[in-house]
This record gives sequence, structure tokens and C-alpha cells, in this order.
Amino acid sequence: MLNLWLKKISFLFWLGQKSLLAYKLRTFFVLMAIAFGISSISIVISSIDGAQKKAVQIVNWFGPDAVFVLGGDIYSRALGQRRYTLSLQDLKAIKEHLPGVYLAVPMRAIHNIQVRYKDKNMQVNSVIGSTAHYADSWNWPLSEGRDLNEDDYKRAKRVALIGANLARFFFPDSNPLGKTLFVQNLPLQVVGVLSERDFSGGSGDINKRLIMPLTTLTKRFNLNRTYYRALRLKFLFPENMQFYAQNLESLLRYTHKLRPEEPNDFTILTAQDILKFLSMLKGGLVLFLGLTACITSIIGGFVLANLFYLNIEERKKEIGLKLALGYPKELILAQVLLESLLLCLWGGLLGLGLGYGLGLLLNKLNLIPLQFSLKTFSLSLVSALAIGIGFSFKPAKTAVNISPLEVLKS
Amino acid sequence: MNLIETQNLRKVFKQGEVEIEVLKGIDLTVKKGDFISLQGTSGSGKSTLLSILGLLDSPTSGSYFFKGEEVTKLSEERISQIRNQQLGFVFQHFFLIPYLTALENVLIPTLYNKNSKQSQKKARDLLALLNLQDRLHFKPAQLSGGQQQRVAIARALINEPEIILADEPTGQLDSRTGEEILNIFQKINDQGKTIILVTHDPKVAGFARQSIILEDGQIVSQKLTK
Repeated sequence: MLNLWLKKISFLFWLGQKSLLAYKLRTFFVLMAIAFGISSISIVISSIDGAQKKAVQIVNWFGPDAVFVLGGDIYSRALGQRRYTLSLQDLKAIKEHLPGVYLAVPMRAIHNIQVRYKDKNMQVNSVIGSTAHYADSWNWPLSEGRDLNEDDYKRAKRVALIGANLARFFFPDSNPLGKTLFVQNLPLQVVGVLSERDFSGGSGDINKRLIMPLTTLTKRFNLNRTYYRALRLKFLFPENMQFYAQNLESLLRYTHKLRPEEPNDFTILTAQDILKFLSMLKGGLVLFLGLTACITSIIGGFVLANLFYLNIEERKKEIGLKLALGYPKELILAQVLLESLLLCLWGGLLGLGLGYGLGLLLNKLNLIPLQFSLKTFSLSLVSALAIGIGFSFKPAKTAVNISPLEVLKS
Repeated sequence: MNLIETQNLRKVFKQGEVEIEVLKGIDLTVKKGDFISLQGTSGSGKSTLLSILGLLDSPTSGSYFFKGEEVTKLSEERISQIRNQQLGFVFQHFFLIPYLTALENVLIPTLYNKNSKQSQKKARDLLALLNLQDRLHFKPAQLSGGQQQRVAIARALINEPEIILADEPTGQLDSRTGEEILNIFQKINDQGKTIILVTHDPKVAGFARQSIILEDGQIVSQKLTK
């Protein structure tokens, strides 16, 4: 019994492979049509997966135990909104009265600043002023040196932490620690280098940052000393984040003397909020790309169906002859289906290769983060086979119903 | 037992409102070892009769017994089986599959047994018998008309059928090659195979042992030629 089935299958494969090789151009067209469809599906799946992975990574960097508070309401785009609403008093109140907080780091930034080392110049997107434990507060390990400390802050020392790209640019062959950079005309000694973070988006490249003590920044760049742009807080127990955030909101509303009907003049972001925002983005991505992939597949499917019909038309004589010679109809049906299955399988594999190649290119260009996985592989292949079987069924049925007599007469 | 027996076989084609009666009550008996030529002019119904005898078409009325089995009562599956196992077809236009070699074309009716040693040997032997031993791996396009028809004959013989049905087998060949093919048919018949051959050419019919002439859907003459 098994032997008969093996014989049947090997015979079918022989027939299929013979005819696919016989009609090379058609086979090539079908293969390419499937390959392009599948490569787009695989890119869609992997970009969705990539976005998901990125989202998880971002949330992990952000930290489940942390809160980022920004001045102003970032959700309302009201013109003339005050963005510098977080004050020294807020920071003090948080440190003294907010339960659970163990780290509170204020920040302000100046943008598009020239940084110079010897004859090398670089336009730096964000120069940040902060206090002790800056790197620690962002869960950002240092690759070299140390974090900012209390002494740096209190004495407004001329020291700086620099991002990995700055270190690479200014000190390609030497250790940056102890070297003096000029931020405009302010000399700063590098005391620490932040490790590289694979992150694009936001305000420019985060590996191109420079951080100095907040006191140094406000003093040397003549900034208001009582207000901050943002606060980074870390709490003891991540499972209580919801309550910490509620307490923080109440406290800030109180210190800002907001009446009940007035909206917040600050924004609290937790890991949950970031995740929600990223999920929303991902949802949009899934919808858009998913729809595109669906439409591509359907169009591809119809093209395939058309090619399969053409194929049956072209081989009417051969199929009629086989029926006349006593081939069972099931065998003809199985042969046509197997041929499309083989085409889809090969096309699918080709498409995956193509998708992978394109994915590498897109990754290199930093356009979309792509995550190739077994899931991408199997989903793409399953869709290829489903399209193949689905759209070749009707042409296969047509083949079975060919009248051998008509064909032989013609 | 008769291999084929038909009683009052009729075939009517409908063309719109018009009914055309192509076969008007054919009574025919074919015995094992017969070599019958069905002769007639175009439109006489000879090809339709051959199609019905070859189970490629069914009669409008009348009965057809193939080795005692009433054909109109058989399932589609059984009919395919009979066509595959007990009938061998040779067509005017050869109908070889263009992308298969001569050997592969011969093996086509063996279905799943294509790779068995027995089938392979038989196919090679048949092709050798028909003088094609050095053309085994040639595609149809690389063969002459006569060679193609010989491949088709080998294909018709591979499953050792009871009856060979040939529809104008020399129609596409020059007279010398045609004669070669007809000699092959005679040899096959001498070995005991039953052959029914359709032709419009009296010369071709002369190779058969028995001649049946059809005119306007009826048998008008039936006689032994040898």
C-alpha cells in the first residue's frame, strides 16, 4: 500500500517536474510573480516583528520603574504653551514628599551646538545639562569612565559625558577620557562615554549627545536656573507605578497651583504610556502593511490563476491525450495542483531570499527595523502555498473536464 | 467470446435545433485476432464509431458490449481503466508529448509503473522491435513522421491491450512510410492482436483482413479481404 503511494507520488513529481522544465518561460514568470509577492509579505511580517522588537527594546531602555516628566502638555498642541513649567521647587517637593522615588534627575537642553576637538567640528543635536546619576537614571551603561556626580553639579565643573558616536568621531584612535572638547567656546573634559544605543527616531541620533552638569550649562549659556525641561524619576517598586504616577500628578498639580478645571501643564510618561504609543504606531503599521500585503497577494493570486489557465489551455492536447489513454481524473487534478504547489514552494523560497536581501538593505539604510524569524519564514511559505492551491484549483478543475474526444478531433 | 458487440448503435449530434444522425443503427461484432478496416468518406460516421468503440464517446442509443460488459452501465473510473489496460490508441497526428523523449512517451500509459524494471524493459524492447533502439532519448521534434508514429504504436502496445484502435494512422505520412506502418500493424495482428483501423483510403484498407464500409452512418458492406 505504502509502496503504491510512493510510486504514485514519485510519478506525479516526475510529471510535474518534466512539464515545469518544459515550459521554462511560463515557469519563470510564475516563479517571479510568486517570489515578488512573497518577498513583500515577508518584509511586511518582519517589519511588524521588527517594530515589535524595537518597541520592547525601547520600553526596556525606558525602564518599567521609571517616569519621564516633561514640561507642558505634549498631547495638546496649543500654541504659545509654556514648556518650562518644571521647577527646582518641584524637584525638591518630589524628593521630599513623593513616596517610593529614589532617584530624581532634572534636565535641560540646548540644541544644534557646535562641538570641537582640535580641528574637528561637529554639529551636535542635543547638549544636555543634568545632575548626578544621569546615565544611571536612563539605564544607560557607560562604556568608559564615570557618570556625573554631586561634585560636578555643585561646583559646576567643566566635565562632560559623550555619546558613542561623538567618541568615535573625535577620538577614533585614542581614549576620550581626560580629553578636552569645546562646546562653542566652553572647554569640557570628557569623564565618561555612554555605550552605543541602537535607536533611531526622536530628536536626532541619541549616540550623538553630550551631557554636562546642569549648573555648568545654565551658567555658561545664560539659561534660567529655576526651570527644567524635564525630570527623570526612578521608583522602588515597578509594580506600584500606577500609584506613583498618580501621586506624582497630584503633587505637581499642587505645586503648580492648578485649579481642578485646569489641565496639566506637564506630561508624565511611564513605560506603559510609551508602550501604548508604540502599540498604536504598530497597529497602524500592521493595518497599512497588512492591507498592502493582502492586496498584493490577491492581485498576485489572480495573475497566477490567469497563468495557470493559460497553462491548461496550452497543454489541452497533452491533458486530453492522457485522459484518452486512461489517466484517472484525480491524477490530472493532482498533477496540476502539484505543479502549482511546486511553483509556489520554489517561488516562496525565492521570495524569502529576495525579501531577506531587501530586508538587509532596508536595515542597512536604517529605514525600517526588520526582524526575520522562523515565523516570517513559515507564514510567508504558508501564504505562498495557500495562494498557489487556492488560485490553481479552478484551472485544475477545468483541466479535469477537458473532453479527450474534442482535443483529439482538433 | 466476442471482444466487441454492438446492437443498433445510434449517435445523434445536436446542432442548435437541428439533429444530425451520424450513426444509424450499427451492428458490429469484433472477435479476437480480427484486423478490421472501417472505410468511408468524410462524414460517413467512421471516426464517430471508432470513438464510441474506444470509449471516448457514448452512443445515443443501442447497446455496446465490451468483453461482455455493457459499456453504458460502467463507471467513469472503470471506463478509464479499460481505455488504459485493454485499448491501445494510434492517432493520425501521433499526439506525442513534445517535452518527453521517445522512451518516456512510450511509458506514459504505464502510469505509476513507469519506473518498474518490467515497464522499462518492455518499452525498450518495443522501440527496438520498431527499429527505434537508437532513438530512445530523442524528443518528438527530432524524429521523422514515420518514427513518431512508430513511437505512438509502441505507446499503444505497452500495456498489452486486447485491441488497437487506429484512426487514419498513415494520414500524415508519405506512401512509403505509410506502408511501413501498415506492415507493422500486420505483424502485430499476426501475433494475435485485434486491430480496428479507420481510413478513407482503399489501399490502406487493403492491409486489413476484413473490410467494413460505412456510408451515411450505416454499414453498407462487410467482407473479408484475405
